Amino acid sequence: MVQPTKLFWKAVKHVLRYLRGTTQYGLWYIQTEGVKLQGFTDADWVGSPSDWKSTSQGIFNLGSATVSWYSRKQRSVALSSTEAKYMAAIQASCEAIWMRNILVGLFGKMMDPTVIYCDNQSCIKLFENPVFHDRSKHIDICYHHLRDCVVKRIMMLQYVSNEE
Amino acid sequence: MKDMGLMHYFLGMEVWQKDGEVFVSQGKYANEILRHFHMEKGKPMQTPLAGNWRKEDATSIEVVAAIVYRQLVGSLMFLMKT
Repeated sequence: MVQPTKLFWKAVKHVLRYLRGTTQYGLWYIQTEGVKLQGFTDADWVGSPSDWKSTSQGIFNLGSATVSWYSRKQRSVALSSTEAKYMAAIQASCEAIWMRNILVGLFGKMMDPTVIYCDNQSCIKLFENPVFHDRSKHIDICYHHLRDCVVKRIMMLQYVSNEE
Repeated sequence: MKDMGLMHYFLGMEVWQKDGEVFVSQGKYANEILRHFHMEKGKPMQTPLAGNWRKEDATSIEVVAAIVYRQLVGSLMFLMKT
């Protein structure tokens, strides 16, 4: 930002050309029966070649359209794609808890567990049964926060294939 | 105070409302950015950035128009946050 070089200038121009192709896009909300919150989460593995960190993505739908989305670089380096997706699911769970609090405040009733879809089977298995085998025992305790959410029926993780 | 009817435009966001339907878009603000930086005729791209882009690949240390660059990044950040 302080001393932009030609490379950065080219990158920004690329962004503008992307913007030009998407100016017609927007969010379309249609009135529906009932309010159902569902989330989708995914992560790439080592998406940033400069520091080997992965990127978490997530989308939350409420009724007919998207209400919340993010794409953020993770704070630590993931050793496997499962681990990257595991960390992404934790971010999604934090988002889900926050949105559920708002919805409970608005409607004043308890909600069913929020379903968050994930395309990685081993990540889901790790949530269901957090066995400490040698590929996951280094994952910090704070990352087992999501496990806690599943037990407390705040949310559940479900598989979705990446074709859908 | 006067009732101005349904909302159409608010802080860079277009709002279209019909029976039971709402469409929100930032098309107007995005087009303003493109016009301001003379990119309204650029070729549209499918992705915001090439997948193999690395900031370490910079070959020249020559500084380009820093003020315009900062204006541009600022406008894009505002677009993203709203």
